[in-house]
Amino acid sequence: MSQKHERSIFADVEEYESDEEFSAWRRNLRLWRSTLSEQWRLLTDDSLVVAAMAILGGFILLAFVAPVVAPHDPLERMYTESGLIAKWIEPSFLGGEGDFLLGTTAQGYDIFSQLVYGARPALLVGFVAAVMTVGIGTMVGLTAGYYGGYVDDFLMRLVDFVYGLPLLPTVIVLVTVLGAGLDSIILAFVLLQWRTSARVIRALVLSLRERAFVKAARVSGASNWRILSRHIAPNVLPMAFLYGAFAIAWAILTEAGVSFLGLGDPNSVSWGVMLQGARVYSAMTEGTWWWFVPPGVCIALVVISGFLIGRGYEEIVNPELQVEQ
Amino acid sequence: MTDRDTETDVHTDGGTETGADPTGERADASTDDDVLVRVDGLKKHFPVDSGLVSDLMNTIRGEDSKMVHAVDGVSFELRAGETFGIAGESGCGKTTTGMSLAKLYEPTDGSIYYDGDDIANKTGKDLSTFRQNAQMIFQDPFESLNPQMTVYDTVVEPLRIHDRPNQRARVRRALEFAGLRPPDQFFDQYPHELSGGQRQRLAIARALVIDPDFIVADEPVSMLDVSLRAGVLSLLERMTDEFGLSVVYISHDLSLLRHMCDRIAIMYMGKIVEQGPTEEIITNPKHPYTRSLIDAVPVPDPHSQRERVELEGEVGDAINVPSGCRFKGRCEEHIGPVCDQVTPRLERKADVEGGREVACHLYESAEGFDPYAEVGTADADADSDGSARAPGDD
Ligand code: SF4
Repeated sequence: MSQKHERSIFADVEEYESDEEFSAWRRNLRLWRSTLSEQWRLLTDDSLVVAAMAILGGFILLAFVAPVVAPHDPLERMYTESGLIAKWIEPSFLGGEGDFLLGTTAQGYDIFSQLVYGARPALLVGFVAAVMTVGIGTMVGLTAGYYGGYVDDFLMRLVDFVYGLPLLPTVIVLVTVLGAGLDSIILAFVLLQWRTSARVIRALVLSLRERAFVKAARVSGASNWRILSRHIAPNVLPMAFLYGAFAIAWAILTEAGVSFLGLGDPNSVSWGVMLQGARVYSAMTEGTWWWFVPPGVCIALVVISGFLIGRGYEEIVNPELQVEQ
Repeated sequence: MTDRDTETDVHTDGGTETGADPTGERADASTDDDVLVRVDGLKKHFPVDSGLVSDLMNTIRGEDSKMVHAVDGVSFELRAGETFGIAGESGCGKTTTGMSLAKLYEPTDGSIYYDGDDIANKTGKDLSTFRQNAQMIFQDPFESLNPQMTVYDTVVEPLRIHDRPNQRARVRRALEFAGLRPPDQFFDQYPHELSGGQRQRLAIARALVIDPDFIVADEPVSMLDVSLRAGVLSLLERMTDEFGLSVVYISHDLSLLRHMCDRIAIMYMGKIVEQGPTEEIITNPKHPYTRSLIDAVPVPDPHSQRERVELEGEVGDAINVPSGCRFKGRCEEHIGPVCDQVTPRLERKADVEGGREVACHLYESAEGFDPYAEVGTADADADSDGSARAPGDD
């Protein structure tokens, strides 16, 4: 190099030590592990968060082992011993005939089996939609915030436009156009919900890119890509996770709402679809609470768990919140 | 991806004949005189309320934004191995000047020559060489370190970017030099686990690890506890000596600059008002602004507790720059219309001995400039650039 000064404390570095094989990979793994275990420790400090994680974990497990747990197929018609369709059967613990834990629906489906299988679409929608929304939102936010100028202008006008659309009505219209089904619900949700994380991440990037450590990286010769990937992205990641946790809850609520209106996937059973069935057959007026209360409770539990975990994580991301409590 | 591309560029260029040429030229230029950095008429203007949101609003409204004249015509030279200080109150443009030296800002006007080449034109291999030779130490060590990066990753980053060998040994050496001992124990710590003094030492190690020739140190100790300053200052002194570095120190603290610098420049509202050998200026200030700055220093002690220089009166308007002398509103020796109308030049004065330049009409120009000849003929001089500024870059 064209060093002008002769003296250098590094003059003999070349000689006395050959480039040692330094396992960057193992070191990174160790650093990641310590960061994660630190966050885990902070997160599990809050007993509410632990409870929420247990509930969510339980539902995830249930979704995986649904065929084992559920006694019947959710869309398999049940028959009584006399050969008639087993409809409006009371739960077995209330003395209903047959062996239906939560009774049957007006069409003769086993409610408990439907409830168990209902965990699948809920969690699928929740996680897929959350990952996609936050993924898109983070990309847009990073690009807009870092590059600024016309790119930022264009992307933020787009965000403003999407902000003008109300969530549920727009999703309903989109699902109607795209055809009922889980994938259209996910698509519609993602198309609308990336806006929040995009805006928040952009604001964060705007402040991060003016920080001196970004300037220091630039002085060291770091390229835009390096600054974005090594200096800015790691600092917005916690915020992205936070929005991910909230997006899970919102997506599940949206799926339930849209299915309740009869726009869910006709070939699968979700909690929203169950509620819709209960409404169509006026289960409410019949007083068969075992049809509509369990799916409602499940939706509430999963959504609340998502919010609680998000809130717990928020306290880690924004330490100021901890002080306020 | 991008930095990989640049790195491969470096290697391929280095192998060819054309790549070697500019290096040769530069070496010639630097043997002619020993000037490492030459700043020539540097100007940096920012849009008012610079910030993306208001930029955006201006873009939407189609308004031409007003400009803050942060740096408005600064020229000086830094010789190899020299330490140069830039002093002034906050907002005088000294930090902007420093950041321009490190190519963090593109000048609105004027040029900065490093080793004879304009740094604005540097790209590819030239830029990469410049980035390895010029480093910066920032004011706030809580801001200048990425909170998500360990000590090792922070210090090794410049070496990774420029693909230097023996990275681990160099990082160890740099940390040791900066006083973070034993270095291996600091490798996996995060900035929040370090004290303020250790953080600034880490920032210094990061600047040194690439073995630079030139460092800009922007208020390197002002954010530190008084008790820690002496240690960091002596580290900076050792750094200058042992590396034979050329350093530009930026500070509001004249006593610190007196301690560290061979020559200093005093800045006021984006211009240098007085410049010369440190001792000459501190012991016998000529410009009224320098005098009031020095009077505001209570104890000439580099480790004193003072944070800021506070002077009487308001700093002038850097958006609508006044005509004539920029210090006229606060000057106690104001001598009439000549001060109001004619911009004083930074020049040698016939009645000021020593190697010093002063921008004030109290003294008689040694270069034959007669400010009184221009009184009344409107200030057609240097200030007309206010209207000729280039709008809206950055
Ligand atoms: S030129 Fe006039 S106003 Fe400016 S510093 Fe000198 S005496 Fe004061």
